[in-house]
Amino acid sequence: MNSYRTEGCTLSGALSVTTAIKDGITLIHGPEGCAHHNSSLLHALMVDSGRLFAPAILSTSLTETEVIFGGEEALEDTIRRAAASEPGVICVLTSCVSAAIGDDVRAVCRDFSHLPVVVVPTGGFLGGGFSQGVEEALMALSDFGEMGEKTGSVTLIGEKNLEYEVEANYQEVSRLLSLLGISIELRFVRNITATAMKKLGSSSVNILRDPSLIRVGNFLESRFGIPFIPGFPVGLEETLVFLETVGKTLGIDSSRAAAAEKENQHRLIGSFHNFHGRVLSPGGNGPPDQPVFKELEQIFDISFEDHGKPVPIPDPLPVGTSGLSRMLHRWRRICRE
Amino acid sequence: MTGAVSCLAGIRGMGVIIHGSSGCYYYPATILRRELHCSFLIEEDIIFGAAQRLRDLISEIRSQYKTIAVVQTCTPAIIGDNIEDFPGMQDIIMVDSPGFLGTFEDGYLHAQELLPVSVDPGKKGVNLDGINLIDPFSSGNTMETVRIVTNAGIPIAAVFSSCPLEHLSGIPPRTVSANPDLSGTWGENSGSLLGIDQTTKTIVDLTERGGYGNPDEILKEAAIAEQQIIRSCDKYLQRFDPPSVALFGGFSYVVFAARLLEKYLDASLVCIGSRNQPRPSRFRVAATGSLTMVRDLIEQDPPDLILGSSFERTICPSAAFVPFTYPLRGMVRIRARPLAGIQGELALMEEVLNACIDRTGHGPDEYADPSADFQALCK
Repeated sequence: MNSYRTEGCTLSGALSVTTAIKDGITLIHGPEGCAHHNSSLLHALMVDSGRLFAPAILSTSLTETEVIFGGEEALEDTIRRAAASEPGVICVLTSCVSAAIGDDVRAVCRDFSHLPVVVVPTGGFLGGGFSQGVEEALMALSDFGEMGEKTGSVTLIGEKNLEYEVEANYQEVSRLLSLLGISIELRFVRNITATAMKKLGSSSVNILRDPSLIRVGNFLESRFGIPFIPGFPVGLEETLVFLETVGKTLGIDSSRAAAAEKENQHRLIGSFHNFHGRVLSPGGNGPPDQPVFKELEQIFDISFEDHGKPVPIPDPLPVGTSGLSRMLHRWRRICRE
Repeated sequence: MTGAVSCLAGIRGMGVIIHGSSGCYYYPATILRRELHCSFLIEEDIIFGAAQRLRDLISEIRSQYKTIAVVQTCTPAIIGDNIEDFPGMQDIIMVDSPGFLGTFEDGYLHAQELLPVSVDPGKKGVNLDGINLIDPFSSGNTMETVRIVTNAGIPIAAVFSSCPLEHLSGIPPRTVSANPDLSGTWGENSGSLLGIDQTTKTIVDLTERGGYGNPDEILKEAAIAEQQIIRSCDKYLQRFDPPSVALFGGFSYVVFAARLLEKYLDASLVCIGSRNQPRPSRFRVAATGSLTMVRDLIEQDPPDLILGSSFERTICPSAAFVPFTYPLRGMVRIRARPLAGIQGELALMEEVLNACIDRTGHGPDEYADPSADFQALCK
């Protein structure tokens, strides 16, 4: 079955972005069930990651009456209710119900132009899947960005807020950029205020979480003139290329940073010398045809066979040298069983 | 939709299809932990018609189950997908249960009405209802209520909704409930087992009206349990003030807990929030349909103790917490815990006292070895 059918609701994708605005409220124009399902999902994943989290989500609570007579009035009432707590931003997300009954959500929100209201046209599953929701939310929120003087810093675009390793991946990218003497100006969108989003037009390069966000990268480039790197690095070689590419984009000599990282990678390889010759069987997403696994086969003289020791293949793939190191530690622990 | 699925998925031998998108499917699939099927609709199915996709899925899984139930989600319900008129589809149970039609309980009760049940007025025994897969007390309530009823010499027939499909045929005419919010669809409502007082009343009524069985052992056990609770609560009150409590959950559960906390601990009930529509009661119960409302209630008068879900725990982490309704995240819960019956009342008060004592930081010496209390009381 194609993944588009099974990847989850557009609402969930958009909510993974909008609920990461610390002073924002997200309003779902749909039945209460959509708000409950998604609140529960976000809560569960955040608690699993060690964060007590209750997302700021309101529902327009559409019932059969609104399905028949329209839900625009319910939307107006709920925007007023959200505005009462003076949030930094009110994100209005549409569900498949509001899309099917044809409410003119943009027109309703235009009447609240004195408030920081942004419409994210999700449309539930009628608007695509989870990743489409992420894209739509990022592009809608980019309205808050202001063109500014380029500061030589970096903005991270579209970190996967529901990913278990999201902070570890951030730390790794931060570490790599620090080798180049570069800091991260903005995490768009993760644990930031609505005001912070103004800085979206001020960084010198955007780094996308992964290449699925190319459309967002192109959109921001055309809007703010900021070039982008298509994804966080995966694998040892790609990590070195990442340093070189970021350096080149910002006009920085990356040779010392690359040499330091290469040294770091040599230490990692040395610490796994006893891993040589292992036969592993990839789980999860099936045969590892990504370049990083070919790289591992060559460096560690390991092989991936159906009869090998079953090991998990992380999804998404591990980021940078540190991510690869964590995956190898997990594999070695399994091989000891 | 989730309420309907929760009801149907408890019937073993019934295949359950969610006719909707993957987003609608994942929540019940992950929280109920039962095998569920989905038509995984996308936009083009809505434009060109989703009925054929559903018929194909039914044909694919039909041989695995004795019967199939289809739960309609919002968009197929709006566009009016209907497969019952197609050849070979007449025996499919179609449950029109889009989210916009009501609460979890509405969906559950609607699906319960559509179960293939037949009543045998002469059959001995009693049915049990109010068992709901999503409820953290689901398996504990089943075990405890079955124990009590069978110990009184009354056989249990159908369990709504956790039994094999065959048990729904020829059920006896009376039904007792572990959760009155979900009761009343099948059989004459013959009482509740939520709370020791209700349990003893129901068991006595059943034995008297049925003319068989014996309530004596249950009555004796109930009396001992009540004394245990009173003794433990009295000890608590000797050292501590009664807690101020916020309660969140289904209506019947929160009213039950409110009764106990007032009765045994003279607790101050600062807010009682019901996820479903509150009914008349002597307590002031607010309908809490959103986290914002929950937050407002808690912030108005912060409690010492919260009975609720991990949502409420997150909102007020400084309060003592007793897990009481779903979702319950960030904790390990793998054993069966009853809320109904005698053990249910004991378990709830035990958890309440321990949570309150833990919050005070005082040692629990005086409360140690409750089994000794039990032995003493039995003598």
